[in-house]
This record gives sequence, structure tokens and C-alpha cells, in this order.
Amino acid sequence: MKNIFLPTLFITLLVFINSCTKESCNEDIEVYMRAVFYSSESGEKSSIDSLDIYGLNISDSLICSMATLNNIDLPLDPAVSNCSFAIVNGGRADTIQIYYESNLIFVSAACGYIYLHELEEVLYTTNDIINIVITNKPVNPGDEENIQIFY
Amino acid sequence: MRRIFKFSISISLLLCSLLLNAQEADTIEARKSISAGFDITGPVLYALDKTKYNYEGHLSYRLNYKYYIVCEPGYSSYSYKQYNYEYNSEGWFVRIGTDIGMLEPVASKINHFAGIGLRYCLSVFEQETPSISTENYWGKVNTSIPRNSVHAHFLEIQGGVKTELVRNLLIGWSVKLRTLIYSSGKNEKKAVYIPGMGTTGASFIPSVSYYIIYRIPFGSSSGV
Repeated sequence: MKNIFLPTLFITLLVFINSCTKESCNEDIEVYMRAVFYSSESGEKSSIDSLDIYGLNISDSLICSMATLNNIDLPLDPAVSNCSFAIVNGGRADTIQIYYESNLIFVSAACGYIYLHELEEVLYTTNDIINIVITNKPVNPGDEENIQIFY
Repeated sequence: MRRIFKFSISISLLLCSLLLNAQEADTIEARKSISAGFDITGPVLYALDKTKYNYEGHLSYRLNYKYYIVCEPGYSSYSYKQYNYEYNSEGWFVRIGTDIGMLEPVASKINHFAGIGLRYCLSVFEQETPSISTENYWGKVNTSIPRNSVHAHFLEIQGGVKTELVRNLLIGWSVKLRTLIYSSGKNEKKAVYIPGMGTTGASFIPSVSYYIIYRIPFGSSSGV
């Protein structure tokens, strides 16, 4: 009995330590560009009513419909260097086109790889939008503001 | 009851004094020696999990009853696959450091070891990520990272025992904690697995080794 106790204990410890190294993905790996809406009159954050937002050149692209929002998280496409969104506010539509660079990074063994982005330029129409300002070029996981949209 | 207590105390004191006298008389000098062996945990783990193998040797030079200079070279290969990527790593490593014995230099213990070890470790390896898949609102993006060379440096602290099974043949085990101090792989080339260290991610990586070692005695007594 004593003869098999130590080898059994050793193998159990070995398997236990081996399994301990297989972690689960607990990190925030969702990467969105956060756009925050501002009032051009007061310069303060403001909510916009009845917003429809969707990506251009993609099917089933609705991101939100008839929503009242003071900010929106927009996904960027890592396969290309720019992507466009339509923002419709009470029937008046504006298009914003975002230029960026995408960089692949390794997060952890459990989570794998994600793309981070670096904003370069934002082009936009001015039917309803007054101005757009880039406030934070790196687009990382988290809820940091990246662009300000003035209505 | 009181008599039994007094008797027990007397016997204990007598045994203690005899033991102390015996230990003083027992103190001897340790011979210098070279030991060579290997860690069997790599082959055992490979039998359980075919995605990785790790072969490592153990060479040590005993300076005296307390201090040993240790070199542990090895070779490791690792493959990992999950739903969004595949990863392979393969390379060499070497750990250099010292073992510090905690046993007294007495005849009954001079050929055994119980103590701690400190190591500096270097790992030189190649890695590749043959497939990476990410998916978001815009669809799926597939990419890969070609084979690239990385070197990593890490530290190890360990505690363990080695006991002489038959003359000059020792077996023993040690429990280890490793921490990475530098890796040349950054951003997307950050290593998932470092040969000789293990899977990255945690600040301290635990490990266990089980050794079979042959000791070659030589030279005169080292002087304890």
C-alpha cells in the first residue's frame, strides 16, 4: 500500500498542476470604437432620439433601431483600412467613414488574439451632424470615448 | 498518572541527550561529486497528453555538504489548438543555478538532499501560429503568423528532496515556481508557451519534477 501511495500522489500532483495552467478567458476582448453625442450649442453630452445606425456595404447591418442614445459602440472591420456607417436621425441620414490601422495582438492562451485599432481620420456628411472630433486614437477593449459627434 | 508523566519526561530527556551525542559523533565531511540525471515528468506527461513533450537533464557539482552548482539543459515541443487559433512552439532551454542543502552533515544524511534551489533560465525557441480566426459584426477574419525565433529569460525557485536509493543512485522530486523576466516576443508574437518555463499568462508558473540521478564521487573530502 505504501509502495503505491507516493507514485499515485506524485501523478495526481502532476496532473493537478498541469490542469491548473489551463485558464479560462476572463479578460475583456470586445473592441469597439465609442462615439459620444454632443450638443453643438451647449458643448455638453446629449441624447439623440429615434436613431437608426447601420454599417454600409454589409447585409443585415442594423446596429440599433429607433433608439435614444448618448453614445454608441461601433465595430471596426480589421480586414480593411476603413469602414462606413449610416446614422439616421428622424429621417435625415448622415454617413461617417472611419479610416484606421489594425494591429493583431496576443491576449492570453485562453483568449487568443484580438485586433486593436488606431484611428487616422473620420470623414462625414453634414446633413444633421455639425462636426466630428477624434479625442482618443487608440481603440482598445473598454469604454473609453474615441470620437465626439456634435449635433 | 503523575509517575507515568515523570517517567516519560525522563525517557525523552535521556533520548534527546543520546541523540545529540550521536549527532556530534556522526558529523562527517562530504565528498565532492558530479551527478547526472534526468527528469521523468516530461515523458510521463507526454503519455497523458500528446500535445507537448519536454525532455530535460540534470547535472550538478557538489561543492560541499550544503552547496551544489546545477545545470539543467532541455528540449521542449508544444502544440495547442482551440476554437480561434492554433499554436506551435519548439526549442531549447537551459537553467543554471545553485541548490542549497538544509540537512546536517551527518553520516545518515550526507548522501541525501533536502533543500531549495535558485535558477536563472534561458529559453531559445521557434514558434508559429498557423491559423487565427477572429469574428465580429463585419464577419470572420482569418490570418496566421509565420515561424519566428524568440528568446526568453526567467527565474525559478524550487524546493525538493533527493534520496539515495542504492549506492550512488538517487531519486527525488522538486516543486518549482517560475517567473518571466523578459521575452523578445511582443504584441502578436508574444509566446503562448516558453520551453522550460510553461504556459505564459500567470505571474508565477508552478511545476513539478521527478528526478532519477546517478552520482559520480571523486576527489578528496571537501571539508564541511
